[in-house]
Amino acid sequence: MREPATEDELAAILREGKPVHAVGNGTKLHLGPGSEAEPVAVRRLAGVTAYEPGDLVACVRAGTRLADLQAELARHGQWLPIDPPYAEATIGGILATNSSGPRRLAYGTMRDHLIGLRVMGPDGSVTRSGGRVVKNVTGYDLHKLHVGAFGTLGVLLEANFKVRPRPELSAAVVFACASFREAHQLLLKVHASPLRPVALEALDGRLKHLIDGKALAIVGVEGTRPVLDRHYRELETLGGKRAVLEGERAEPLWTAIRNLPRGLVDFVRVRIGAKPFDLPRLVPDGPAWAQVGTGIARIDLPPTADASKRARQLHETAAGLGGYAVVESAPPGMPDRAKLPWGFPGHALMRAIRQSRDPRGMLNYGRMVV
Amino acid sequence: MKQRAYTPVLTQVARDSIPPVTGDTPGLLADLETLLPPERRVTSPDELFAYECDAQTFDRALPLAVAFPETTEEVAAIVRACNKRNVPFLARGAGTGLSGGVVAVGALVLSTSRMNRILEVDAPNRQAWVQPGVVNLHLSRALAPHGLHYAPDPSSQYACTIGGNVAENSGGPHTLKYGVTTNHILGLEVVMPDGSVALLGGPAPDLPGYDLTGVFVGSEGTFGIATRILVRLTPNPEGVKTVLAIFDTVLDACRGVTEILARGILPAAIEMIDQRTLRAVEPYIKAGFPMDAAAVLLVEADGLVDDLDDQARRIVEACTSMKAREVRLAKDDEERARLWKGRKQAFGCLGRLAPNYYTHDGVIPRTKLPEVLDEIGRIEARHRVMIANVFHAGDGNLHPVILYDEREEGVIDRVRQAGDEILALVARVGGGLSGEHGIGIEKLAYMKDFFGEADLAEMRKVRDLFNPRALCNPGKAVPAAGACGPAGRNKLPVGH
Repeated sequence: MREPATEDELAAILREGKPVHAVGNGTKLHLGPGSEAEPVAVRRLAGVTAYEPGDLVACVRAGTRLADLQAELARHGQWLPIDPPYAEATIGGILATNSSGPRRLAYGTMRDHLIGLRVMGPDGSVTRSGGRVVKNVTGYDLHKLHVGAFGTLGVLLEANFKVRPRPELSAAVVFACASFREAHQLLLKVHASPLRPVALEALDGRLKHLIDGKALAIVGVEGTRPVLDRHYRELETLGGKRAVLEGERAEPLWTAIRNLPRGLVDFVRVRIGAKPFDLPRLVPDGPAWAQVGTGIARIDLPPTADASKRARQLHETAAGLGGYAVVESAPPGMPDRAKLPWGFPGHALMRAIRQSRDPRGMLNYGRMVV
Repeated sequence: MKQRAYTPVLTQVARDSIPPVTGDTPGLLADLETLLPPERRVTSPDELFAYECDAQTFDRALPLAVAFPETTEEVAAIVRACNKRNVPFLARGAGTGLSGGVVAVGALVLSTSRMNRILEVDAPNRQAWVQPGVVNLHLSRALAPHGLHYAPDPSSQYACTIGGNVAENSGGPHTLKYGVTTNHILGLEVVMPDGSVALLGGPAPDLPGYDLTGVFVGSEGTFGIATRILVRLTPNPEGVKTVLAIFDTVLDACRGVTEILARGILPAAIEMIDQRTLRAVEPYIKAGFPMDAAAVLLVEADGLVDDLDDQARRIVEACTSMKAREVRLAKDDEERARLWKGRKQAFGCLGRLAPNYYTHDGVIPRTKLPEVLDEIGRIEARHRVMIANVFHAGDGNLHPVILYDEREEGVIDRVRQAGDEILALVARVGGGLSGEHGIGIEKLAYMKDFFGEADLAEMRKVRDLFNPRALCNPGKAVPAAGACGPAGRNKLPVGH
């Protein structure tokens, strides 16, 4: 696999005029239908290019691992408040897949923190939008188009982010529940309460090796001691068997949850998005994991011939409520894998934008349905 | 009213960017008569004067007519008629904009003032569909019984509309903690520039496909007209503490800002008000501001009540360590409301000092605040103008307000030069041209100081996909290729 060491080298590869599949560390290649183009890893285009803690802004090359950026920010008591899966994930890959983790409930996704972006077009030309200040309406927000675009509108080179002070303390309050549905309902109750959790994750029993229970309801809490204590007190009134994991003790659990997206490569993983209180009725029985309050659930279907049909049915039901269901990943080599509902045609403008940015389909073709 | 010959007042850059109207305007006016009842169209020059500019008055022109649609279907029908007659059009909210974004040079204006209904509040899911003409503050007031509010709170929120906020990606004091408009828009129903109706985004998170909602927000009305807006609602904070920190030098106040953030505190808002503004505001609003202070910081912490006292104490300590001479904590909601009234009505009060004002809103890295404010003081002296500073210090979003009397010979030249130098300074320290007011036509000439031609070409490409015939608010937000070079910049408005 080619790994350009400079932007010029990357541009030279693109100018060869052959389709490329730009990747970072390749932690999310299981997402989407897949690209047959030559993979080009941009992970050597890495490093923090500007960071002034007093400005709460950090600029970083797309090949940088998020973990490396966080380590640098942590030295100044700050962080980029996102917690997507995979320790090796790069900034560019996280942006391109709009990858997020449990704490998005409180802090949002990459879309909410990205304030500027430099990208390379299929002809090797470099353009930018946004800037290095936290609030900026100078020019169109073209960088928004690249978040979740799977690299189909350009190779991401450098991103600028708003960062925040790190919370003093963090904890996970874990409830053992009798069923996934019970866990989901319990967390909706927390969502509607005056409490301000940073994460609400309902999960079937698959993390038994960490915490026993048929299903888990996990409440993430961050802040000062009085805020944590308030949460502990009020969560106690919800009853049930529960454990409180503070600080580092919660990390194995968070890591396990974050990595669930890749955990089961033997299934067809369907993402359901809906309004938070509509979600429970859209999640069928079976293996499931929900980001309660956010409105996202992921379910696993057996990779059989009717997976496609079932996913489409889920989409139809969800669409009736303003939601959707799409396949996120499926076992390689499964029959008719390409025909799974990986997405649905959006507004014609999406195709027009892609056509205009990449008329010959040179960039990450196949990674996403447009 | 006595009729007079009307001459538009347009800066060179506006004349360069906005193409002349060449379409069938009588045909469009005839179409309007079939589309809307007489009380919902304005065509007489006397009445059109009310629509010649927004709150930025350097550029003024008369629209062809103003239409007052009430529904999406009416907007779509009017836009289709504009397409058929090849006449440009633009949407206008409350006209509180500060960059000339709604100046209509012979174009048809679609006022959203009759599209002011809150259509559906889904309190448990914290979202609401609203029409574009809903006033920002009215929305938050209507949500109060649900314990929710709409977070972006521009200073003009008592008048400005959600549709205008979407067009400009508006901010406000509390965006420091809660983000700007784009962070609070989930979906949009848009009448596209060709008159078709599209739904962008929606109530569910992480919709597959490109983020058209994200790129539409802040497109200054050049991508289409939002006719229904799905906003994210934010739970009201359980508690709020508001601190007024009083400083004897502006420099110390700036250091107070960075010190608060350096201590790991993220307040909901940090606003700075300088002496000139304090003296204009206090006699009128009686907010409790000291008129002898060089500057004050208005700092707000909010959230769960459990650690709010502690947060307020840490803010007080940070300010005291930067030589605040006094730090007051608002003792009740009434005092808090008074302080905020003083801040939010500051621009209006500055009108007591001079009949005209001109404001920029460049954003700078927060650590550059001391040197930039110092330099603005020198620019003020050099050009013999009066500048007041009242701004979102926590975001580094400056609002230098240049006060003047347009009847004074030669003053407009000096005001513009001072403005030019402030923006050059913003560019020099790595800042952004506009934090929340938008580019409109007023800042078009400066775009090249912040973006390269290739960057601007990408922006035009995307705009032209939304707006291929350039009928929807033409000439705004992004300069035309090859237009508005440095030569256009300092030219006086014509028509004076």
